Amino acid sequence: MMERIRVPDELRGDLQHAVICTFGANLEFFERDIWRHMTSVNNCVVLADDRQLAEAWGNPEGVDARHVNISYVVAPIRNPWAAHAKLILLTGPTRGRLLVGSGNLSMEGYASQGELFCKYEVSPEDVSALGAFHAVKEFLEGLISRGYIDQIAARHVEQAWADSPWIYSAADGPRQVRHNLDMPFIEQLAEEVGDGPVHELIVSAPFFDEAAGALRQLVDRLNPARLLVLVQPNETSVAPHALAEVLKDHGAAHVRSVEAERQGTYLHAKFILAHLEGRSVCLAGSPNLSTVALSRSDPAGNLELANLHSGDPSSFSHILDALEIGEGDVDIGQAGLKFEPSPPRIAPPASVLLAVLVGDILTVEMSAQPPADATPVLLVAGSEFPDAELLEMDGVGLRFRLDAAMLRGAVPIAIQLRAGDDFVETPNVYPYHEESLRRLLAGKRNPEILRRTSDLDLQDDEIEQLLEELDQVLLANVESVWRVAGKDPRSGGPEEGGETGANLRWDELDWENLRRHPRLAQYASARTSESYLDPTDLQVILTSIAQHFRREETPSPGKTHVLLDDLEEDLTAGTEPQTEEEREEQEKADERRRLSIETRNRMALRRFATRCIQGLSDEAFLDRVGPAVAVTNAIILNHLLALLVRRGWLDLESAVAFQIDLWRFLWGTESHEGYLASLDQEERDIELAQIREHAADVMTVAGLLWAAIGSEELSIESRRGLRDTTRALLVIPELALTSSLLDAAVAEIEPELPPHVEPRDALRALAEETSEYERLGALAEAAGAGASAHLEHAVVMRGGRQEGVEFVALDGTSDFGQDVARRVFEEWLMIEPNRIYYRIDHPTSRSVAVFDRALNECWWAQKGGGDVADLSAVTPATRPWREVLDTVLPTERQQARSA
Amino acid sequence: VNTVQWTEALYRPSGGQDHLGLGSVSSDRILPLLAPGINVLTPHPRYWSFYTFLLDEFWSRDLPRTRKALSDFYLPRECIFSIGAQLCDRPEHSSSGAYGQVIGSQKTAPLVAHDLAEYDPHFAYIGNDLGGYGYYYAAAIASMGLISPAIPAAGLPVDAPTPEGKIVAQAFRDAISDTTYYREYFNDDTRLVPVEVVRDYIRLACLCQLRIDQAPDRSLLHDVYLHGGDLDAAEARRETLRMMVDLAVQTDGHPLTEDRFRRLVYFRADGEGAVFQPSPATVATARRWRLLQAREYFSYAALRLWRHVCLWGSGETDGGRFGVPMGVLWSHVDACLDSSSLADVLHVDTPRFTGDTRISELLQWLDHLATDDLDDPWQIDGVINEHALYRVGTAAPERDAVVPAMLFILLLLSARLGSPALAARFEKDWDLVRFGGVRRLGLDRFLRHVRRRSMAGATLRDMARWIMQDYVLRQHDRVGASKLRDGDTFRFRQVGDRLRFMRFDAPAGMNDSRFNALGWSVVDLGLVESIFGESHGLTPVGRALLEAGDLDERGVTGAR
Repeated sequence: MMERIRVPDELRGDLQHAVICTFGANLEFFERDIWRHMTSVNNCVVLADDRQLAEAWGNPEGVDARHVNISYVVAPIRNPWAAHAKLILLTGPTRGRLLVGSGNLSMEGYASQGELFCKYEVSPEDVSALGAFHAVKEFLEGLISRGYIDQIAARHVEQAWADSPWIYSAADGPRQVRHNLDMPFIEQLAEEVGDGPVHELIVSAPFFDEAAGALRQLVDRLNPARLLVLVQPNETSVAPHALAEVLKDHGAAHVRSVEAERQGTYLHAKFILAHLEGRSVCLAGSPNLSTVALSRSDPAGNLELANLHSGDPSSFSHILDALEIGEGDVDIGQAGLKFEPSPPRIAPPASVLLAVLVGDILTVEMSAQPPADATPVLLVAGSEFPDAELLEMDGVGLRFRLDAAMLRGAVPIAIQLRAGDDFVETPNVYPYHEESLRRLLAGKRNPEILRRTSDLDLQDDEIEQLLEELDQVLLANVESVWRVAGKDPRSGGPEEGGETGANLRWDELDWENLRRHPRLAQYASARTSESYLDPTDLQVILTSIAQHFRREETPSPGKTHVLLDDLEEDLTAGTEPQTEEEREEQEKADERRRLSIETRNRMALRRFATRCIQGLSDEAFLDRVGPAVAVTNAIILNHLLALLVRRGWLDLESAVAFQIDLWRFLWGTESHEGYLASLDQEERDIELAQIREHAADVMTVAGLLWAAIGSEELSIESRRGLRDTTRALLVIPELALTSSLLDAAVAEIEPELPPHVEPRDALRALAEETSEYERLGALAEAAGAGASAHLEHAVVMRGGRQEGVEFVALDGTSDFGQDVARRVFEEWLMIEPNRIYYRIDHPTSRSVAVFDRALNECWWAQKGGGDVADLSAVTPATRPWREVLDTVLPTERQQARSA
Repeated sequence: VNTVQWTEALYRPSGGQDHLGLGSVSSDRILPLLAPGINVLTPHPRYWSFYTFLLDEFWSRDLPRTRKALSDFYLPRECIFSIGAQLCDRPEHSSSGAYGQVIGSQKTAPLVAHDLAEYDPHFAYIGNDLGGYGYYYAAAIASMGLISPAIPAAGLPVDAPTPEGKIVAQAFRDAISDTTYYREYFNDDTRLVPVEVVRDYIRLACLCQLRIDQAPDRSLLHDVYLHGGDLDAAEARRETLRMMVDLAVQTDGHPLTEDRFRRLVYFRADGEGAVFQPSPATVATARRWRLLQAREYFSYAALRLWRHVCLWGSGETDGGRFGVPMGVLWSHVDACLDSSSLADVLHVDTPRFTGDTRISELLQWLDHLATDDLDDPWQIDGVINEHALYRVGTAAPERDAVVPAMLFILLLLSARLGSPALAARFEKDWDLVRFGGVRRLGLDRFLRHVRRRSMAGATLRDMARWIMQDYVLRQHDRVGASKLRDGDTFRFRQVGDRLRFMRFDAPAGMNDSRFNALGWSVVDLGLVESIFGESHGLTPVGRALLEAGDLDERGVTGAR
């Protein structure tokens, strides 16, 4: 048996444009379960029958879809009859995929057993199916040229063709996909069948016309020797008496019941199968067995699309094999068959043909000029929109100024025309958010999401999406540059710069042109606010980051705002479990979902951060792209990492690893000059201004504080690395850590701080932390070259009593005089300021030195009755980072001292 | 080869619950405001002591601070506690009715029925690595400030008792420290525990033993329940406990059940003799509980109509073998709008109506039941009321009268709560009525829409279509679609102009009222002697709470 097609799975792949034609569109299903499969698609257009859309959107609050006409286009097809064609077209620069069939954009249409689809693919290796794509292009262009779809939708469809140059090649072979813009299907089928006798004609469709006229015409035209009509009992919409008439007139006709494998499946597929001498012909797609579908062409009938295939006699047997066909003829009168008329197509008294939102201006095109005495009122989600100002009313055109921030997310609008106590209300439409849609055409999948980079106000399953968008926007590393240059970094093989990007050849790049590329040029334009053009994506991100730190109190929400909040409520949250079993079940389901999202997010985060860090570590890349790109990328990555780890989307261990690399690059370390320091003065000032404007300094310290708080959880290596970075950052002049910077960083993380956690203390503890090995090493170093130190325990006389103590024994140096002892004490006091008893033994010289805080004595002596010297005024050594730490984070003792 | 293929069915049919997505409005939005920390599955205050004690013991040992180590430590000890609770022979264990909701009892009760001589602490009594604590109690205990949940990023790898928690933990330890179990077995979970050792331990440790005056942790838990955690939450909890005590006193002589509790908080009488007239001190809290119950009747009406559609559709389509034209459903709904069918099952005076009756007329007829005050008693005896209509929904077999009965619940709610003046007057409490918004069917939104439709002359038929379309069909579709990733939980779907049904159970009921959880809380805390039986004797401490509104117990929160 032939495998069934899994339609959602066919939407995957590296294809950037999608056009879906459907009769009805279940957009909730699309957003939740279809769109996520189309991971590479950034320009998606859904074209649906206008009346079906109006009905679906008829509820005042519209549909539960958040991205309509923001992240993809949904447009009505306004032909005189039903727009009934069903297709899914996916295209990219070198390949395309096309599905033509019977299923609408709904769970039943794409994910039940009751539909038929045919898949066509074109690739550089195989263009044999190109004719099918040509037919679809012709069909879509027909919709545009006949004015059935608006200009915004048309623009997005045309973009798909513009970015798919292969479509312009000539096609060979038969046209396997047909439309009825010019010729009725019955004519096309008859033409394909030709003059030869038809031995058998098998037809199946869920809808017939009332008089079964299309079936009669079909039979008259093809004159089959045998006719088999398949009907689904209690389902097929057909008038029994009309069907009986056709059958009676034919003479050798049979009606059989048909069911799908899975009980209860509605067979929505439509097919006509003609068995001829030595071959078969099959028409399968959107047309039902109705006159408007089969016997007429546009504009006298529906818009339909179908596969018309010819093959050997058994080519289509799998269609019938998958069905359970009754063995005997059905008693038409007893099979629950009934003609269900379609609802009449009544045009509303007024409707909105086009609504476009640009900035805070909403432009509306009405179907007819409103009456002179009518006042147009803007409704949003069924309620009058507060403070919408009608700027202009010119013929069918209306222009409103409104607070566009309140229209965040997709919400339906309608126009109420008020005249005295009477009013007329248009059906709902979803306005096109023009700026977002334009960004889609520039390659963005979810343009709105970029605005949320600043506060990561995202749902779990949006993180991956955000990272994909950022990946598109940022020129993160050398691979991104290659892509901008239109070259595939993988094409050269590993030795020429394969997937790692390590060996890419710079000589091949045309830098003059590249610098003018929007993706590179945006780094320059992102820093100016003079542009009258739409903000670039980078500007969107940077502005949102800057605003994150300048948040003012938000105004109190209006009525519509509250309604919109309601609309955003997540319905996936279920009810509280009432029993242990329910709780366990819920736990498992939540865990499965969480793990799946978490894993995807974690992987995406690591990929993204790795690419950015890779770019920032690549000197050749940095030389070419310059400080604007490098510092901007660092600002964004720094901001993201700090937030991601705080929100729990990235584990601390990974985040710290990335942050250490990033800070090392940007600020530098004790032994490595940071990028900022490497710039000349003028460049450095410019970049530092960017850093301050976007508070990358605050976010660095905030990230440091957060990492310090959780540093107990880190591996030893990460913890040491973090500590060393902390010490370095404390003294980096470009960062210039001050109390006020520290306060700002604490304020940034404060809302997420757990109770009883003091980030300043954590930072100090981390910076001062030393291991025993490090402490002994430092003491040995203070003792002089070649010295080593280890710990020992002994019983000594202390304050007149014997006492067990721990002391440091020095080896490997011959000298341990008073000066050396003083140096070692100074180091030790700095490293362990809170110790009470310090003792150093030098077995080689039989010398000993003691600093006893409790007894307030400090001396050096030679054992065996030798010299004893008082080592007065030993003060702790210091380090630059300690000095900064003591300034910005004075200990209580220091505070008391300074007081 | 390009060939036409059949499509594949991709979504696994799945049971699911809350098919209209309404349950969480009560459980996640309203109840956390009324009884924060007291959930359906957290009825026993002594678990606050026991779990905090276990955490404290864990932290007092030199063990790795990992969830695995905590689990290894925790499970055997809760297992013995669960087994013990089945063995408890203290009089308090049965004096207030069967002791329910002991964690793990589904597994430990059958085990104990075998009369074993020894018990294995590693018996698999629950499916969660942190047992009842992980499943139910952790969040509630944390919300009252006794534990801090793990925050690895902040250096807290596993949950730990707060300083306040340690006080409670120590009190529990004091209660059981002399038991053989604690002295000889608690530290070593590899040993089987003799039944007498378990029994001896549970006689002091059991959930029911919080009630006795000598329980060292009782006054501490009074403090925790009345003052712990967020101040607003503590106040709400305090007021609800006070109301429960008030309710217990006033209904002395009447055994209370969840069903009676609902009637008492909504109508202020149960129609069987018990009356609840909140005192001036508890009336504000009682008002909010009444609004919660209004929401429950509202949700039930929608859910019950959904169930009716499921049952009707399944019957019409031979268990979902084929679709039904929407017109057939509408014909059925119209046919149900018959006053005689409702009168037959209600046995009280009902208005005469057909599908053509205007809802404004029906609202006018019902107006005599409405008052302009949310604190008045509402008549339950001898008149059409929400609870009587609710019972039409709970009766079997399925009747067509369910449709008008549920519509009348909605109309009654509109008559009682639909006045804008009432909403304005009780604005402070109206948040509870607004919850749900669009996607979870807010009651306030419904009231506004009814008013609008009533003014526009809508008939009962119009209302039935509207409710069925927006509150049942569309809402079910919305919720089913939102859950598709976890499976196909649809019971029916509108495909084109047809409804297609799936053969699955379609349960409809109200959410848990919290009566059991609150009832056990006031009993276990020693505020009332019982609430489930007839006698609801008030303890001195319960009386003090009722009269003063608080208890001067600050053993935990005062130590901050």
